[in-house]
Amino acid sequence: MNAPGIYPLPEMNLPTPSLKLSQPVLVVRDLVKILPNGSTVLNGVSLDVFPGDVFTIIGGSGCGKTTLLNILIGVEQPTAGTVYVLGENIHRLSRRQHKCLMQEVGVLFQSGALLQSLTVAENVALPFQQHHPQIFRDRELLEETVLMKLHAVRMAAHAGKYPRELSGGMKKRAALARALALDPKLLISDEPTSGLDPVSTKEIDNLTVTLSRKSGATAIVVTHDLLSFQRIATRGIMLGAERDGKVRGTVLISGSREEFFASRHPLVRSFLHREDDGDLPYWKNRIRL
Amino acid sequence: MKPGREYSYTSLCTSLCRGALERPWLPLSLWKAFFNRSLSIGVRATPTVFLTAFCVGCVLALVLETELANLSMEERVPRLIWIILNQQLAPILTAVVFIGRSVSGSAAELANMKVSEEIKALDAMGVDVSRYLLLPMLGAFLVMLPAMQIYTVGFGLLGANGVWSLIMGMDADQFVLRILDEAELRDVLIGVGKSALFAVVIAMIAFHKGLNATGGSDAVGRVATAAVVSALAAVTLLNAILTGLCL
Repeated sequence: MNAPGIYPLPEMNLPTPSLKLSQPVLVVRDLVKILPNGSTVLNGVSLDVFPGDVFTIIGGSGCGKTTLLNILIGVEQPTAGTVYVLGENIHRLSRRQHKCLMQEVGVLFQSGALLQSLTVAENVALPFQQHHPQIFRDRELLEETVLMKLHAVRMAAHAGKYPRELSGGMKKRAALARALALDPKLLISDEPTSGLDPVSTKEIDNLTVTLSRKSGATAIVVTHDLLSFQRIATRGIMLGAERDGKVRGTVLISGSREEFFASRHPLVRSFLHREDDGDLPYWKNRIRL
Repeated sequence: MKPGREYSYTSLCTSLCRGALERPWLPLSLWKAFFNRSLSIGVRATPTVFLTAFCVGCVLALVLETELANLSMEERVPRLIWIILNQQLAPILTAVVFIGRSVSGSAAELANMKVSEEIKALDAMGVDVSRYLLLPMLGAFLVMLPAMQIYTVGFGLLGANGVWSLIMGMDADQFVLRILDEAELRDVLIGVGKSALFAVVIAMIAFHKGLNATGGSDAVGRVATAAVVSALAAVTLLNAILTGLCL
């Protein structure tokens, strides 16, 4: 039964709950990130992601979600703490080792980050050409594989288009096809539904879950979209945001979706149940004025 | 270049050398990228370069002819034009056109890719940014700038010859014969060598400024301006040093 406050779930093939006994695909310990201006973005973040999870990182704006994601994929260095991705300390890897590891990790960026100078098909073909040039020297094989990947996200008809010719939802779908091109073990998405209408949001959520499950990938989704969280999350963490004061960048709660909604933590409750007790009186006063 | 690190000149040079030497055989996609870059960086700059070179050749011939005629040394004009064009004007002129057109464009393109997370996406895909993106650009600068420098000399001489024969009423064949008589391969090599060095320097400035862009879309314009200013200063300074060393 759903915990109080949870919206009815749409019919979707949710992934099987993770087996806690299996080896985690991602281990983060005591992660700290202090910016050059002295502000602490992440403060002792620890988490474990197990195979089969759809692990969601939620929190308000400015809580350090994107910084955490950048650290997880190794494009940003932490001030302290360790990150083990598929058993490898990602910040201790050489360039070559990092390149090898990233074949197992697909990343979907907030903007899609498709290369503007390439068509959709060329964008999806890029990981194949870069990592398996010998196999995909055969042009026909490459084209067929790319079309298959695009077909999975219903973008095959737009293969020849440039990113500037696509809508926001189409860009995200094409980026998802590129992220899942090499059938990674881990899919990391940074706010994949931001700026999308509810139908596109649902479609991206659906694709993220079904495709990652089909390819056997574990998904980590960074979001502040509550509906998406309810739809796809099996487990997750919530980070304290800037407006939450001292707890900024710390893990407020970690656990399953049900545990989130059962939480008594005031900031968690405020975020999940949209209790606007902080700002409302101020606005009421403003309206009276 | 390790993902997430700042792009310094040293790391850029190291990664580019490693990218080129690690696997010297370039795949077809990189050759395609190289030809596309050469087209946009060099070939499309030809009208500007040729027009500038032609006009500079004309002006040079006029000034030298007028001044040297007073000293009855007008027969030295072709030789002087050959030296000035090859060793000084053509490398600088071509570099300035490339800086205004291609360095600003390349820096802005890289800055745009940086702020729109395309560089981060390449890093996240495990794609070597220096090999995939920078190497074709550097190759295009390195091939096109010396090539255009040779054409600049040619068009400059054409302009000078035009002024010499049509305006001054001198013999056009004499102009060519005087140049050929005293032309030295050393002059050409100095010009080409300078252009090659300028190409590397201005390309590295474009890469450094572009890849270290921060902020939003406003960063693109800022980076393009900074790249042009730095490249102009570097080329001028380098030319002075090289001229001192060559003389």
